[in-house]
Amino acid sequence: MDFALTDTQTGLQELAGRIFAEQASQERLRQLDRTGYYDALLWRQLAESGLLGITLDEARGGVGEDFITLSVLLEEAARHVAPVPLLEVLVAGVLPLQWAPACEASNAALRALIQGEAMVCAALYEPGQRNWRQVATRAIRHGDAWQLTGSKHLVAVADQPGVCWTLAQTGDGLGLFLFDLQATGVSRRQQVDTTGEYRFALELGAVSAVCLATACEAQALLDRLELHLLAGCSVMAVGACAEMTRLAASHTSEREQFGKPLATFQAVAHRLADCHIDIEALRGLTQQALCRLSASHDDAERSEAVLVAKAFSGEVLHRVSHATQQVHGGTGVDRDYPLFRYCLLAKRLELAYGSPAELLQRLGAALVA
Amino acid sequence: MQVDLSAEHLAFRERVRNYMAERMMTADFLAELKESRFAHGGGPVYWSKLRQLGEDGWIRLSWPKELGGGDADPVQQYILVEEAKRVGFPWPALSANSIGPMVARHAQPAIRERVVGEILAGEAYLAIGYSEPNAGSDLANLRTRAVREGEDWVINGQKIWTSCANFAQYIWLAARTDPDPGKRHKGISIFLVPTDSPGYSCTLIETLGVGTTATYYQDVRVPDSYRVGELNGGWPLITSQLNLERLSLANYGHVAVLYDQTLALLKSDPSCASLLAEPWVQRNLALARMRLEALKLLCFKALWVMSNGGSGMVEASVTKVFGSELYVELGRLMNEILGPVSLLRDGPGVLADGLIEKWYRKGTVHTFGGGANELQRNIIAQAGLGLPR
Repeated sequence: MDFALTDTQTGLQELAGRIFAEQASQERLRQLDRTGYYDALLWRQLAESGLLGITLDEARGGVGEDFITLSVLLEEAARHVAPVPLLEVLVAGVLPLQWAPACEASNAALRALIQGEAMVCAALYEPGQRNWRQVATRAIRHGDAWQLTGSKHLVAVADQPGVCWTLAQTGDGLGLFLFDLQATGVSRRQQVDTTGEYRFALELGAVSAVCLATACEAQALLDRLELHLLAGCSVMAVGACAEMTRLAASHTSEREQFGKPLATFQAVAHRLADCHIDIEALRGLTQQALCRLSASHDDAERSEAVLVAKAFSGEVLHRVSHATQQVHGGTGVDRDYPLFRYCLLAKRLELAYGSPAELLQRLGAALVA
Repeated sequence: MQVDLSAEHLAFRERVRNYMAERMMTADFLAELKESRFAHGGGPVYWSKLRQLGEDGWIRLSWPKELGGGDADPVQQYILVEEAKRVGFPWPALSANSIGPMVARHAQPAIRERVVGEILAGEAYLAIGYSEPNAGSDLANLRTRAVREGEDWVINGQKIWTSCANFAQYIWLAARTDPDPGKRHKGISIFLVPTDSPGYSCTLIETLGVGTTATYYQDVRVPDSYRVGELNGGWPLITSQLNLERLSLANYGHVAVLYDQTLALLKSDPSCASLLAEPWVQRNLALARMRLEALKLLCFKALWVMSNGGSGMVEASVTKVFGSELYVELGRLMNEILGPVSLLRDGPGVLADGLIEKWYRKGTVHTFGGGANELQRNIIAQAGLGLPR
């Protein structure tokens, strides 16, 4: 057993923590609330610090670290509610391109991403569908080229220069396709998420695209991506919940009522002790999920570990979010105090890519199989 | 990062598992454990098993090397207790893990060799006499008195929840040796009281779940050589309960038994197929599985901390609260699936030898036994989160 991070991971944790702490001041975050909670300067700094190519191999300009190492960056980002779409880009956007057979288009996209010059994002959902695999968008082949027509939504950073991959029906099953966000035929309407981040509804009208994978290969990529996204959410839940609890511990230790610190009331202290228990349990489950994803395990073991971690994270996010608000009294809902941002992120993570109820149902079905 | 047991620890677990199955849980012992008076030990087969454990070196395995032990690491110690509890063996934790090594370290030379020899050979067992009717979580309030008379101490008082006293040879007893009310926890000493001492008596307390005893001390006379540790220095011995023991109170294997047995029961019975297809049944199983996995990881994390020189105090408290509350909740989740038949204690149709019925009754004690969960939450709040007292 070894629950420790490697030296590389510890170094990354310190670097990322420093960058986020310096750049994500409350004042700056308030300004970003008006522009979709995305900080282009911070994104550029992450690129300059070499943090956007963590999982990409050296041939592609990255450093070739594993998903556990990337998860360190995700946890730090959540701990600081950093206004950058790391899960949406480095996991949802990048990993399928990294796993699919290399092609000129994906190589170019990943190079531009590492330089901080362009985004790689994923259009996973269609309006009215909860499941990615419910796809009405069609891909029509013209020689070596493909054209996509259909609707997608909840796409992060689709207003930035870059590429987006999505799913479309090929007539021979689902395929993964890459298209340029500035291409002819792409139109977008802005959505605003509970966190204040922008999302985009995309209309694709005969948009030129490159095929990354089809049929079984595409399904395998989707299954693999889903597990990594769920694990990524769990990791971010650990960071967000730990920081919410730290804020609550600090507030209740300092604020006095009835002549003594709030934290000396057991009704308050025990509620925070429960947050600590929840977070420690979630941290363990998340570490197990990360280990299962990064080493050789069979699919059932991987899937179970990830479902368990993500389902539990949903419960913990909900409980910690409300407990920490409760012990802050009105202070926690004040928009000049940081806690509210964590609660918004917590709610998004709770439902992202699968709610506890859905995931528990999947887990339960697997247990009786 | 690597969250699983090492190959060496897995091999050790296999060895313990085989030993428990082949040597300990034999048919005669299983039959004896079904008799309520012997359910926690004390029957003739129990004593033969305890002596066997001693002979085969399992009692000394967890003791430190300098006390003649096997110096097992925290993970091995945990596995040993877990595997014993998993199969329902009444593991002699007080001999093997907590009080035994303290006797070896702190007993006076006049009695040490004999008593330690008895403990390691599995010929003697001990019961802990701490709690009193008016001293529970606030143990420093205890009133049992020991008064010096010549070379002896004369003990008067009453203890409660003295589990296993009905078959123990010694009570590891906390008594007040300084009556000054200003010296609450600094006026307590520890004695080894032989249970064949005149004036000592014991009555059974039947409870909702597990049986226990009350013990009475009326002018019980023990020589000063049976005092353990410093005079008025009993408190550090009481509070030095290892975090590893706290961890064992709600260890994963022990808690997972109900889930494992319930699922096996359902899967082995073709008439349960339609029940297993119910979404609410699957949800209960999934909730149980999710929380059991969390408990497993909490145990492993605490063991890793302890194996690397940490005290593991907060981790042990976290695990104790989570595990004990899960134990209770798990009973409910599994009862819901199995329905009213899960409440049969005995007779035709009884499930898993009555385990399922016994579980929810037994479970009640875990959240306050071994240090009430409220006290554990205080530890977590203060030591884990740094909150002020």
